[in-house]
Amino acid sequence: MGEAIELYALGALGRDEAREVEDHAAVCADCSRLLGEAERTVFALDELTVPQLEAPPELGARIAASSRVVVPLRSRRPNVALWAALAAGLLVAGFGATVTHEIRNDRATIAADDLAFSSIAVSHFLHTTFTKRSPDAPTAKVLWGKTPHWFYVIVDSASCDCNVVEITSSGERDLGPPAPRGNTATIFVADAPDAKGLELRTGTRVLASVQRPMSP
Amino acid sequence: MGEMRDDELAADFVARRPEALEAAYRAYASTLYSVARHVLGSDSDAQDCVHDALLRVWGRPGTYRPERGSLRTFLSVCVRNEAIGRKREAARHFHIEQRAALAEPEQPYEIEIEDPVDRARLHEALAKLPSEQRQALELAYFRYLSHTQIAEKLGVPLGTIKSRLAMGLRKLQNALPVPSASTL
Repeated sequence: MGEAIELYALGALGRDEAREVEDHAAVCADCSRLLGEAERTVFALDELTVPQLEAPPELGARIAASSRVVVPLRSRRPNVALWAALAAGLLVAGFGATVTHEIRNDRATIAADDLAFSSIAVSHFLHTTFTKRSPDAPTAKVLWGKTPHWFYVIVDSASCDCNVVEITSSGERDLGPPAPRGNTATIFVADAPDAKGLELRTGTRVLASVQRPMSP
Repeated sequence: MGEMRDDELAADFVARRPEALEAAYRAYASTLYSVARHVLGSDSDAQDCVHDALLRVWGRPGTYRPERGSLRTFLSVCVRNEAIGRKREAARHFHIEQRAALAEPEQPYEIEIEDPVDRARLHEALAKLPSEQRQALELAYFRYLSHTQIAEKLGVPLGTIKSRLAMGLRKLQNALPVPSASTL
């Protein structure tokens, strides 16, 4: 990567150039090491020049909520062993444990909804409708945030037996099933700059698909 | 959540354990917020910047790998780059700051550092650089200009500016008291 390493560490590259450096460093140990050395020098400059401030407590809560939104999506897929363990646990712990579990779920749901709605409220976004590829496909829409690149899928069925799959230029990512919200099911991903499109799938069968629209 | 060592945080981050992002933020919150606030100058902009930078890194597995060094340094530079990107976009949007920056006459940059010892160390390190490398570095580091903006401002070919920045930073690496990866 040559000089791009130091330019990246200094913040002197444009966003696209910086993204190329990040992508390369992710697969190249030697360049990653050189990048680390350049970053340590910039960090040393920061230590001399940047006054240390205390971070506002609300920022930690916001990051915690957002990270929980993005990460647990993969684990929503039904898991027989997990459900068996939960059932056994409930038999032992009784009704009190059930209530606690539901409260925690509610809090996680509220945090997820809060992030989704605040993103919708403060961002510019486009919306598109999924094209049905199968007669049993549910009606579904997706909102595409412009900056940052979030998306929010809304399926017009709370009982859709399907997963949302994100399509990127380098592959795909199974996000798991959308979460029921009354008569609908939704899924929110806070950061998806590489998404080219989405599919609703049951197993390997594609029920519906949609392309990310080009920004005007 | 108890205190975790940096290497434990980094290992959890690489393994993408569900709580790793939150734990890393809690460990480095002051560093990350301070960098963003320093570049952007606003509390709300800094909060948005730290939040989005961390989520972007978290959403792209493999971006951080142990060879790169400490997780704190990596995240700090990610936040700084995000902040600089936002600052440039805001300047492009208003077409004011950028033009003003490009039109400013050449003059030494006044480095505002409260601690006289730190100030002296930085001046000493920068003074060891050839003037053209120091000038390019100061425009990149202190004024957040991109390589193309620096080339335009100085009327020097882009390739020359890239070389000056790269060489300048490499020399600074030897002149500054840069902590080793293991002690960060």
